[in-house]
Amino acid sequence: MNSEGKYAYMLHNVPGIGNRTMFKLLEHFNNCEDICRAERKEFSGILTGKQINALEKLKCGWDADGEFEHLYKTGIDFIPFFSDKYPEKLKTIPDPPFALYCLGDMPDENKPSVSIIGARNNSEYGRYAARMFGERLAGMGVQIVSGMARGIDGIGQEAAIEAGGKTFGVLGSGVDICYPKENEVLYDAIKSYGGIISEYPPGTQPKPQFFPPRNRIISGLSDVVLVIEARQKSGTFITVDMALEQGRDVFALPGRICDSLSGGCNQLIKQGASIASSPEDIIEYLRCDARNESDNCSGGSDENFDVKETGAEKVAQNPYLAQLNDTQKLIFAELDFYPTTSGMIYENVLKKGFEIGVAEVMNVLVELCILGVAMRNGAGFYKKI
Amino acid sequence: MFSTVVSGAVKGIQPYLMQVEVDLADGLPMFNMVGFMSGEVREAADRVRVALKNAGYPLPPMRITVNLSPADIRKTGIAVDLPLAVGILCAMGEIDDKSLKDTLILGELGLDGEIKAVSGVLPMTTHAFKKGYNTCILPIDNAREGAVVRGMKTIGVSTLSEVVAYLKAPEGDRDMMIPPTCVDVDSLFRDGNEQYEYLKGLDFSEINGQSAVKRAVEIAVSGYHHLLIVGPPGSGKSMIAKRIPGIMPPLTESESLEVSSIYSVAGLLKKGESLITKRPFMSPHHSITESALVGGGMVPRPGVISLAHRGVLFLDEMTEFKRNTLNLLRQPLEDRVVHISRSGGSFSYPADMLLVGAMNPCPCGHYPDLNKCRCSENEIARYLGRISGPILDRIDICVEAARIDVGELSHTNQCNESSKEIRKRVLNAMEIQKKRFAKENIRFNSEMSPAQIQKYCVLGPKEQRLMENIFNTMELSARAYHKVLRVSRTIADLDGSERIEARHITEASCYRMTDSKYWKKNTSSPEKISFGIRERRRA
Repeated sequence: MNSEGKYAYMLHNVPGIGNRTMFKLLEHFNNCEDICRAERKEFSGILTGKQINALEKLKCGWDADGEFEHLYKTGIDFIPFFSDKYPEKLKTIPDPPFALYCLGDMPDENKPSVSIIGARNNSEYGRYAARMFGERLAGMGVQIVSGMARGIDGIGQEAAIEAGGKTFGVLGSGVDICYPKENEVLYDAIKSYGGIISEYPPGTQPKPQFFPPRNRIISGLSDVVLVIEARQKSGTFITVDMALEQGRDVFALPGRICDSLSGGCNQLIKQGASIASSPEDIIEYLRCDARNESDNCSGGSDENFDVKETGAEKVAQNPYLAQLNDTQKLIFAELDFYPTTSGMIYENVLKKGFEIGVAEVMNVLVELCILGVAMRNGAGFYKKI
Repeated sequence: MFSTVVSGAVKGIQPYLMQVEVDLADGLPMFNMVGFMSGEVREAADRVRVALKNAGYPLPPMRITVNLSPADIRKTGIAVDLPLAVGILCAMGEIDDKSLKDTLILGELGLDGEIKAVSGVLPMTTHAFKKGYNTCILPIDNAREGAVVRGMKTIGVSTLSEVVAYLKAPEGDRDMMIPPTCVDVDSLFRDGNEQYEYLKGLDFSEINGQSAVKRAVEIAVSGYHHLLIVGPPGSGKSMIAKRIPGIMPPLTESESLEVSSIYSVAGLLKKGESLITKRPFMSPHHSITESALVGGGMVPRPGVISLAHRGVLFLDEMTEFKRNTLNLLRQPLEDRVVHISRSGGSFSYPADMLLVGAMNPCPCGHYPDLNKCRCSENEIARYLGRISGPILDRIDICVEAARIDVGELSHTNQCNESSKEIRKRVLNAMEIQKKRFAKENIRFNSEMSPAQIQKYCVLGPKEQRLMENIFNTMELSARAYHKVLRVSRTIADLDGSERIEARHITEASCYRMTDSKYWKKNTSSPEKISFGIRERRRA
């Protein structure tokens, strides 16, 4: 197998030979070593002239043993389709990746995994939900799979790590390249508390066309896909479509009908996605799923869930919230998940018929920030949850 | 056959007296001008010759030498026509040089002998009066400018022959011939309210909503803090900015002289205008060039920031200004004067203005309305990055303008505060500062140095704790510390409070949002996550 591995690695590095062609080759030659040793004419009908040239060119300058050794030294696992480390879940999906690279661990197949996905450009509500779901699911032993992108993906994974869970990032670049750059800290953390996974050889720079295919790995590796926030037209739907194609269940977080960032989620719900009103909904589903499976197979898999934290009472309530005085309560009621300017809050309070100065409103807002129940950014104040 | 006429010129806005010396001698007829002058000044020779001929005084066929003294200052962009013509006539013996005693002469000539207005009259006459010259002969259009100088006898003239007739007349008959121009300077400043006449139709009472911005403007004006208004398009940022001069105190006489001098040098005083009595409001378009903003050019001219001296410099769409252009503001904002060095010498123009900037919160302008705004975090960061940190550092107050509902606009029965009411409070706050800084060399809270802050912004233990609390929870930078204190001092002054209290500090901290991370749609801080990991390792 080891020698097969190094030849598979070599073939996987040939530019211009896609995933499907790789499987075609494997089907024809049965093992990778033979492919590498084959003569030019043997490829006719399978590879185009250009692809053969590329393969021949690579063969000239490629030291199969050395390169494989080098890969091994960098700590990157190479997991071809025929390896026993290759996840069973991926074997059954349409168009499975020919090989995976992994920094860190691969997801534990016996444990449930959920992917938390959504918009890069999230709202405060999405941020809260991604954190909450990530944290609570991870706390209950669920592995979080996502794309380590800006926004929801990163937030969910970050929360999972903070909660002490495992999380796996599937990249649209080589595993040794951190994209986006601002998630560098998260990238390093995932390496130690989960794994970075990619079907692209190390050193591959991220390109727009790499991202849709990687979404099939995200959904493929998980049992449930949870959409936190997405607009009606969003890249998230690529993952959702893949998930449905692969037979994974899709959960969507409901949102207000006036928020376009929740538009996609509400649409999904309308189309029959399950509603994720709390992490327990997903746990419940996973548990049923596991039970069904254990009926067919043997043994119980309930112990996979760390059920000691049922968590309903763990809803993060800021203790100061109960201690607010009347004015503070009044102002707090005007806050939203979206930043609102102090002027707007003042107008709203006035409209309700309260006599208060604009300076006082600002004072109360800062007090709320100090108490930790509100936050501010450049665009105004918002509710912290 | 020699004569000297005193005229004036300006270097930057620094006036100096210039002697126009004329000598007529036997020899080949020629007209020679010396005295370190540029080409356009030399052209005066031809104008003077023709103008004199047309006025009935043809030049004698003699060797004419003219010297402009002092010879070490390069004369450029100035008009020496009238003094030169008078000097020649004097050298010819047409005019008695005694009649020119203690007289300053300024003016440009047309070929027909008409006298045209020149720029920089106000600083020149002021300077000349200090040097002991008590009469000045000025173009009629500039006469009111010169007449502002108390004690200076100002004669406004319109043609060359008029000047000659005037100078030839015996001392006693002169005033009959051309009565000296008089301007009652006191009346210009007597009634403060009249100064605001021009602001009719620009009153704060016309602005519905945006109370937070109005409040911020009030504080900014009171303590002379630079201000940045951030808001979506159509939220009334420019509308508010245009009304700021209306809540500033009336120009005092000395301020007015400063401002008028700059406008006089720039040639921007209107015909027959004597002094600028309204606060300047300059709103340059964002395509402005560097030298137009801070001053400069071949013949150095004051830039827009100097024209906004003692008034408001409003930079609309601040992010659209070229980064380099904006960065030029760094030094003037600090020193309140701009120094320009060119090959022709260095010039200083005063630039003590209130900077008011306006910008959108993101490239599309709709953030935080995520239903409309699709700008990514990076795009926003790039957009905001167009204003450099050092500039933001000099802006004490930053306020968000909210999007306006149509409903709010249609409320006509709202009784908003008028500019007059706001101005009253501003004046009170300024009065307090004037008393406080009587022995210091500053005027406003915004100018306090760290040492002065320590002296005048004493916090009690409770306020000190609050300050620390705010800094920790709101992630303010250490740099912001002094700014918050300066602004809270102004808020306390507006409040009429001797001590800075908790509510003043909390409000002041509300105006700090230009600090470090600013928008951060997502607050994914590396510290937090690494902290989470540390915690986990421990467990």
